[in-house]
Amino acid sequence: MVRDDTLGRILRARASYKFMFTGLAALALTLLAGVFTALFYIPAFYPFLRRSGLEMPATHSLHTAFAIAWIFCTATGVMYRMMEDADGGMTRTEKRLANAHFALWCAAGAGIAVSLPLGLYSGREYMEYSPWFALPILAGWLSLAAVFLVRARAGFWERPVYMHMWGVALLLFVYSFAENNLWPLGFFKGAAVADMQVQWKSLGTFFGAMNLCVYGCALYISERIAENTAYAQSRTAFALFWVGLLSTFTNYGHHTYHLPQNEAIKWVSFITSMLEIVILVKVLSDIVGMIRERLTPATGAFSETLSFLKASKIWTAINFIFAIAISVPPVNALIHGTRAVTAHAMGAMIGIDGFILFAATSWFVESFAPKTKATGPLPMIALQAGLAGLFTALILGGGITGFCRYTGQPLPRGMQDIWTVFALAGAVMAAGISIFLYRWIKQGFLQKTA
Amino acid sequence: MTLPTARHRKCVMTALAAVFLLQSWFVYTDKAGRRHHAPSAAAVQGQMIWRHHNCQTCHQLFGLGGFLGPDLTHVTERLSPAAFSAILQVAPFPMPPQRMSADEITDIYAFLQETDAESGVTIAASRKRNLVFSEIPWFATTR
Repeated sequence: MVRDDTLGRILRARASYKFMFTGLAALALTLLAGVFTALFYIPAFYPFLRRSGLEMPATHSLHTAFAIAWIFCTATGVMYRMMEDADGGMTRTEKRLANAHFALWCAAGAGIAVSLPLGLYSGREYMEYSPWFALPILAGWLSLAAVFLVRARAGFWERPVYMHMWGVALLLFVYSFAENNLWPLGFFKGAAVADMQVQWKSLGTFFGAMNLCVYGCALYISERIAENTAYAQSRTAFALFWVGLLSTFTNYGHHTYHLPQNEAIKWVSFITSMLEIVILVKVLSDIVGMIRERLTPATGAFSETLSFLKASKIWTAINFIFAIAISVPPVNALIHGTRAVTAHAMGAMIGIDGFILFAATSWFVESFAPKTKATGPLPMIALQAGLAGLFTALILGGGITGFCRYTGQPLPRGMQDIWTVFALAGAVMAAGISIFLYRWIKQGFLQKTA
Repeated sequence: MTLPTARHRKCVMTALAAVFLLQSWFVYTDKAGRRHHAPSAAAVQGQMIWRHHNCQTCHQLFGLGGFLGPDLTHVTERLSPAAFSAILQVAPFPMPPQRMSADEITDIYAFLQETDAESGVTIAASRKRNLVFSEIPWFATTR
């Protein structure tokens, strides 16, 4: 890597830099929207919220839309980094397509950020923005697919597993994105339950593909840090890919026990999901061990990256245990429709995907700004404690709600305290993430020289 | 370390692609979600209003949606049209003011009612099954 005054200019021209930086901007917006959404859970803030004119459909939609944007931008940044650092770098055509991709997503993001507070919704889960924004988002995916798949085509079947993960994820994104926008068609419009089935299916594929992208990032950065190219060709790594891919097709079934559909769908999804998590714990353990062997304690290089990967391993194991519990039909019946489901979603999204992407961002920043100062333990403690508090409060609140619903009893008086703890824990977690964000942006992305 | 060869990888990917196509066909042709008559014009309009107001952010229907508001699956069995309309007109905070006309409220009610009917179950029928053998206390699927 060139280390002179022009480093900043060189980096800022790179697609990987642009996407990683934009991912952090999306994360900042996610945290802000999340904090405002959490205020709706605390009655003491109602007078402020009434005066402000904020509405939960808007803040929640912003939170979910930009959380997804953060994940995609960061994963895309890692993919472009791989292409930039590969032999020969990116060609001029590839750079132009990457720039087009970036412009399309920035335009979509800006439009969504403005339209959601104005109340322009599609009413579709996780993609509550107007369906017109799906067009530039899809066009961006197609640009990336054009660059990546053409480059990966030569010797594809011999390539490391992360290339397979990213390539297949791209194809699945395009498919599931289109599928999720089929609802205007008469075939789906006229049958609300069938539409829900398809919506769940496409969301399952969508998030499964997102997971594949993130797993690819974990394997790629561990290969770069540990300088070990063998693991990404191993049977374990490919097992994660294949089971993860099967899970993208089937995992939605464990969200739809209650929807009228064939029983086989539910059992296949349960078994596949559990198998995926077991393999993921093994893979994360392996890559943490691989990186630890390579790093020297004296330099402390990439120690923050390693911390995030270790955290992801632990949270994956926690989520595995919880997912097993709530997939058992009687337990699922109890907690269905309660915030215990939110615990599962946020525990997985932040604990698994989030920590892997934090690791990727940390690696990215440290790889071009190795003198970036360490943050100290406080942000990580805040992040972990906040997530643990949020996770526990949601499970407790959801469990009590489900139990009272089943027995017909009224909710106990202390329930509001649980939601207050949930909101405060989320704020603590957001504070921890913000400190990392600030340091990465200020000391990493906005630095003028090496 | 035995590596999966290119041939192994191609075989597995081909099998998975076949599973994907089969599963998609299975879901699209599953008759479980298409039991009844085509929805009325009011229900179709109600569904559009439901989407435009982003109701699913806070409310669930068959597990799809948020948790801040009550689950609206089978709500039309619990609330009369008048009671439903009163709630939407008052919009108790943190529910945002809905600013809907009487016709729009009627259309949403029709959408919810017909969606419930499409599921083929009622609250009364599902409550007869105990927790161990039913999947959901309120919305067990019919056989």
